[in-house]
Amino acid sequence: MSAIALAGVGYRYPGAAAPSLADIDLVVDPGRIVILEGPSGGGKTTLLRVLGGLAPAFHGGEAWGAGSVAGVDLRSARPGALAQRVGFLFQEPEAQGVMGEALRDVAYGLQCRGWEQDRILPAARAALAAVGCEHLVGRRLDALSSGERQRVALAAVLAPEPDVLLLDEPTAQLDDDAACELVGQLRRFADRGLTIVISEHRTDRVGHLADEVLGVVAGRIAAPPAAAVYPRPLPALVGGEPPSLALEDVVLERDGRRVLHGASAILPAAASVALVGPNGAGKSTLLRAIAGLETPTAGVIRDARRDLARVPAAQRVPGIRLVPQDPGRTLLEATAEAEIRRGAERLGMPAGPADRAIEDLSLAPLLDRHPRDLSVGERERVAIAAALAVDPALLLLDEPTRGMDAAHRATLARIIGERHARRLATITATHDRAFVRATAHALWIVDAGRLVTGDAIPDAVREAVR
Amino acid sequence: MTDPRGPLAVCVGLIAVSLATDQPALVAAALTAAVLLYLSAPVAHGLVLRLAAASGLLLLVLNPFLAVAGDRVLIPGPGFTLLDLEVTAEELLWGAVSGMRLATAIVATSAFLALSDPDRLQALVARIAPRSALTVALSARLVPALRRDASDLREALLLRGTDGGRGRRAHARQAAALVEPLVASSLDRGVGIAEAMAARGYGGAPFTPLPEDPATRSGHLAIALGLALIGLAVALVAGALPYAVYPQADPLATPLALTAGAAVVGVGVIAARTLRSAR
Repeated sequence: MSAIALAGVGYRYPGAAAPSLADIDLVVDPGRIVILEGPSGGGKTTLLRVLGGLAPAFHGGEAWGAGSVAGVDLRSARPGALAQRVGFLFQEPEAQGVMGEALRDVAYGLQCRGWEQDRILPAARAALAAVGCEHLVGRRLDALSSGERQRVALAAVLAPEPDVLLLDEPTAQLDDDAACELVGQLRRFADRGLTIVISEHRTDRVGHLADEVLGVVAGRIAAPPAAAVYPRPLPALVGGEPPSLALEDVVLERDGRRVLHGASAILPAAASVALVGPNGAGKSTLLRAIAGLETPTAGVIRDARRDLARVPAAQRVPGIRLVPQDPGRTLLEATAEAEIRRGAERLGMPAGPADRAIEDLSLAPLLDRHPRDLSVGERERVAIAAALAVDPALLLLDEPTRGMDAAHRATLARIIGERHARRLATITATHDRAFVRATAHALWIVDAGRLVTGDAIPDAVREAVR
Repeated sequence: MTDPRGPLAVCVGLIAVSLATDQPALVAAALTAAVLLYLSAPVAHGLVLRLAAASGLLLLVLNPFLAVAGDRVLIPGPGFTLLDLEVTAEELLWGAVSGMRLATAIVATSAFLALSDPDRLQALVARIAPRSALTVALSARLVPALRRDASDLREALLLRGTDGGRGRRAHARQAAALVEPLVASSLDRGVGIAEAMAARGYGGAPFTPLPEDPATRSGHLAIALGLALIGLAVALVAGALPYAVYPQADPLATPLALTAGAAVVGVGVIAARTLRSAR
């Protein structure tokens, strides 16, 4: 019997003019790994939601066609009942947590499945250990980095040993070691009979796992899209560029814990730097400190003109502009267009850069949509366009390729290249090596809160990224 | 964050005492104890205390114009169908007592949520009323989630180069601008948690509770203090320390009422210390 069988399945979100899925025929045998690829907003996440019984149950709208997952009829099963056999990893790990503490959160799914009491905590610990997160036992989820949260979410879906696993961008926020470990683990699970469907833009990481790669384009199964074609790597920096940013022994402590240990670096104007390092190392904290959202305990941060210690975050814009991780949490406006243009309008800036960003990032069809109705990749593009609209001298991007399809990753690489040509600097925190190769003049490595730059970076690390 | 049973017993006890008597000294004591308890919680306190004070003052101000009672007239005035412009000392006193009760309920509930581990609270409710687990999961996380969302949205404004300006009016304008996105994100979060629970299997099979750590000594002490307060509330309902506001208020404080009030405040102090040390 097939693990997944869909025939003529379609789905329309409430109020939507066109269906998000149509004519989906899909058969997946037990133990197979299927990867869904396609543009942002093409229907991959919606297809996973239908397979997981979450749409239309939680999203309203209308579904049609026939289907079963793990032998459960999708038309009659309640989501909670289907979840006894199916594990679902959400695209945003922040949305996955139900309990406040890591071990309890992993245990929650086992409790809901009615496991015997004495098996639950050992199994939850083992699942956390399997994703390299044993050390997070006792930690609050809201104090973890996004990557750490994604690992805990993975542990939570793996722990109950489901028959079918639905993963929405499982490696998007994982560092390379964790992604590699996960991929190996998924293969072992599949070899034991687990059926896995993965929606993923980073096929460079998981593509070799797949028994089948399917495209999902405009709500239909189609041929997978072509891989990202990045522009040529940036030309080397010309020496003697003045600095656009200088960090001098920046120390940052939070809740009595030292998050940054004396970070020092100089960023020349026109440079594009990739900020890399394992999950929870302090990359986001460093970017937030530069943007003025966190105050260093000691040390100095300067831009091209001044010491920024007395410059509040709002006044660092438009010179320095951060696109934070998970831009879905910072949506303020009722339309994507307002979200993109409002900041530049408030600062009295011309509309040209916003127009250009909308065109470059293919956002015109989305301008009237509510930003909360967009996919994660589309939201990311809206947030980047809002930052480009103020044409900052220093652009800070925190995991900008999360949820972004291949074509738009290549577009973003080209935009960073154009900023370099205009002598504007960019720092990008990312785990995406191909993106690093295409966009970075230099690496800054953050490991356990320590920033390593220039010649201090071991050759092996430099080669691994290059 | 602690076992929720201790904070629950103390907070229920304080609310029960404030509802069980009209004696102003005792109601004020219950409010004082609730505030002390809340101040011992490791959260920002300003918003809840301002909300409690504003709600209490509103009742104090409204009652003289809605009630038509009391012998000691302070401000004479005509009465209409729904509005009585005559103000008596008893109406003010009753408004004060009602306001303090409402404030006690707000502050004690906030103290309970701030002092309790939401995971253990959810587990406790799942044992007693499994169908209410979703409601508890949502409400236990509502205040911290709202605080986090508000902080994220404020950062979003800063990243757009808007700092809201200085002064109360600018702050009020900024707060107003955040209301709509905050409501939208809260609704999103509510659906998100419900969806995540369903995706994890909630409602699909009988729920297995986790073995809970036994209550600690401080937890036992907090429960005992809460039970003592509930005992006091039962005695007050049964007629101990009778007090009448209308038609003419009894003397505000008798030695017995002051002693009982001091005891309630003392319980609040001990409970606050106990629960702080239990974290």
